[in-house]
Amino acid sequence: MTRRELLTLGLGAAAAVPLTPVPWKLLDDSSKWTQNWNWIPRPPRGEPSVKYSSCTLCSAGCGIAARCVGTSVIGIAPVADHPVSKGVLCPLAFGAHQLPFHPARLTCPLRHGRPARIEEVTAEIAGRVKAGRFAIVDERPGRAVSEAYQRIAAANGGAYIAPVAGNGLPLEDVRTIVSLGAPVLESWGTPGRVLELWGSGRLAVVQVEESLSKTGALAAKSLIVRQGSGSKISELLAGRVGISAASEATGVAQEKLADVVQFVKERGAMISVAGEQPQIAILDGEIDTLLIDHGPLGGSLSRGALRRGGVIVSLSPYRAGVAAAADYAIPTPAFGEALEEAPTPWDAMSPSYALAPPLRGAPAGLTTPCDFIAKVTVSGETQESAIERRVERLHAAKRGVVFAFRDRTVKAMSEFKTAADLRKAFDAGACWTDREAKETPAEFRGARSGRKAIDVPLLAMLRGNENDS
Amino acid sequence: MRYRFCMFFALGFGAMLAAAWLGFPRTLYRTEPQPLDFNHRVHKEKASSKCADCHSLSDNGVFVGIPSISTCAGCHADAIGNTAKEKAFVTNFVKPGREIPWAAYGRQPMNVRFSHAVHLNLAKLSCEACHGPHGQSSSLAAYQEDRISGYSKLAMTMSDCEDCHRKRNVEAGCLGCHK
Amino acid sequence: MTRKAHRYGMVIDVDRCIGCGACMVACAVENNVAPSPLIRRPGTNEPKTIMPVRVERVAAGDQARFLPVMCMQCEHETPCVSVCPQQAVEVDRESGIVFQMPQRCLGCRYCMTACPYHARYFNWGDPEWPAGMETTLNPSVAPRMRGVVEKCNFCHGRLQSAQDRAAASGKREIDAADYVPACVEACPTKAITFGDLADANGNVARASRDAHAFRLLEKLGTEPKVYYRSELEWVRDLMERGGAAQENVDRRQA
Repeated sequence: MTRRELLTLGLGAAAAVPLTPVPWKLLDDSSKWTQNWNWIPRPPRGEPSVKYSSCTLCSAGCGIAARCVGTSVIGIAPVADHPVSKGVLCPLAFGAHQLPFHPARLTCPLRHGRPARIEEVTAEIAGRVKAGRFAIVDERPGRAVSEAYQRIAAANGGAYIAPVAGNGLPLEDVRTIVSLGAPVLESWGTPGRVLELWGSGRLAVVQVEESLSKTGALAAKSLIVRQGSGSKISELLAGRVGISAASEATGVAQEKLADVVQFVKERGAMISVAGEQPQIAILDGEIDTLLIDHGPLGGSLSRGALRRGGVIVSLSPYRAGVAAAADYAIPTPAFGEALEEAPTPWDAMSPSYALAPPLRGAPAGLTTPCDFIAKVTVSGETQESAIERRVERLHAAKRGVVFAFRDRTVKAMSEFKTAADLRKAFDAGACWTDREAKETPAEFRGARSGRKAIDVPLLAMLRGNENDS
Repeated sequence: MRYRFCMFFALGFGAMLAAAWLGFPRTLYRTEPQPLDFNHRVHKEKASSKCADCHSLSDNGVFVGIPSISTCAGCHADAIGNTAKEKAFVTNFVKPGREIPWAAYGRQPMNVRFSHAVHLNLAKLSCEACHGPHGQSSSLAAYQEDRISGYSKLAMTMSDCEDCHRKRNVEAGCLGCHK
Repeated sequence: MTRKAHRYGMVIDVDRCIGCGACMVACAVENNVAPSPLIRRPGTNEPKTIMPVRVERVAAGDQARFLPVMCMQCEHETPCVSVCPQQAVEVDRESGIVFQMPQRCLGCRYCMTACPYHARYFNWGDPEWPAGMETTLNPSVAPRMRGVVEKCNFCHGRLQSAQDRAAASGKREIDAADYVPACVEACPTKAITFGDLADANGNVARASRDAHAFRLLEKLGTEPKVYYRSELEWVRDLMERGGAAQENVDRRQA
């Protein structure tokens, strides 16, 4: 074969190529290939379903409907007609199912910031607990496990420390809320309850603060006062000081004050709320080991609130807030990974209780805060037994009604034949309320807070700043 | 001279045609056997199964394409025949509740939305209209996967959908078929 | 063999919006938007994150109000549709939704220039998901890669689910209660009303005819299907003036 003939062969082959599928298929396939890089995430596949639970990111305990595909949670929606949350959720709840995957997630125990084995740290902490005096700090009081903590502390000579319990705010009975710096319209209290009253015009907001907040910008009346002079407005509205004195102290023009006084008077009953941070006082020198149950969000305690009180053991799902600086950080299940509880919100006037059943499984090797504390204090308590006891007590009291989230039906407590039936209803997503109660029993009351007790560590996490206190 | 030229040209031409049409598909597609050789005909005849018994449409409009192991376990909780293959199936998959890793012929890109609910209940199409007499087959077709694009040779493409829609004069905007 | 022509629209009550951003969170979750820090491109107000709905703040003295802004679903000479060289966006006849298909987009960003509401966002990079978080992706909405433009599609995935549910019982028309976009569902004060504007007696159509209702940049004639409503004169005045003067509209993140 000559070179010319070889070339002719090649020419023939080249001429045939467009008549074959090769170039067309390769073009088509390469365009598909360029759109299917393996780092583009693929959504989960599986059967869609809805699981009902309660949000535990703050003490309001709003009802949630979690859309699931297979075993993954892909979205959160509110529960309509919920007696406590009124079919409303705050912005945090909608992304809460993504929190377990936050980069600041605590995946293994830390000792002085360095990874350690759970068996070792458990033994070390148990040793310290036995040798000295311990205190359990409960950032989410009012739960059944809170009662378990109190029992553990009492039985072992330890201390139980929790933020002051709220007595509830009679918002339905007033026409105006005079807020001394409380972010009333910013997911405050039980958001559904507050916003329903505000949106319908039944509740007007008079915001008194030192610098303009979002609530102040939305409020019916907004007063920007000199630092530390907010209480003068309360005194003015109570009739204890005159307008000129108040104007002098706060720096607000007299006409403006007169207008506000008139506004409040015309509307009728008012209530005053202050925007305080949850206060927890840890006594210096008396505590050797501090066991802190931060709750599912990793807690709102600032490091400044803890004066030196021995060794700090922080039980949290995230390496944020106190857990980032504690002597020991023990990983606990995150949002939706383990059974939690939603007791009476701090602003509610009557008791309520719901369980927050898990939406998916927790990573292996994690224990709930209650079970860990029970282990290191060598007590017989478990989270499950504490919750069982409370469900039994609720059933035995025969009071109130149970609202089921799935079919939005209400059943009187007397309709549940056994405590196990009640527990089954709770596990499927339900909330018990007792509207006829004259007051909320102390052990049911959630922490009192002017601010939503979630600002600090969550905002720190959102900004990617894990060292923020 | 001219003759030789034409001959070599034709030779090259023919060789390329043969290589491309016969050889190219063989190299482009990777054949993967299915984990089990499922026999539709046996299930249709012996168990009188209809398509919808395993490939069902829920009230929410969600279609189960490939049934989960729990559907098989509904009848095969224990071996009901006496073949070795069935026994192996029950031991390896049904008892431990392990999902069978089927290779899906119809897998579409993530942005494709196909609604079985609309095509079955509104267009009133029979299963055979798109899937052919698959229910009569005694074994599963070989799963051939394009090495470059990653999709099955049997997967329907947009032109298949367009052809049928055009023939039946049914409008479907982009929103009808894409996510 | 085809469905009735609907015109899905919204009426947003500005007096009820508290600027909480629940709509933004729920929208990002529904549309598989990767979590990322809020960064603006240097020297501009253009956000680098994808915000199919964003809350804008308008202020007058000590008072502020918030407006959730998303794709206005323009009906008349839809600007983005008329400029797209790829026909990657079209006005869906059945629903009236201006449907953006990122997979067809070639990333020229002409539509972003054309949109008077700045409601379109570009994927500057591939979305980055923290490990494991991709299991929370919504399968009803296709993930996007870098180099394409996306925007609010009125939660088309939810419309498609509603259609499937209706088809399962043999119905061609959906049950209106089944189609609720994420922002509408999330709003804690129920400030957003959503529905079919073609239904003259429906909630949305009636609300859009309210004396206090207005639309953004009305004088441009794009005929948006998203209405706003406020009883405050200063808000309506500001919007009527077209928000042309930059100092009147505070475009900081609420």
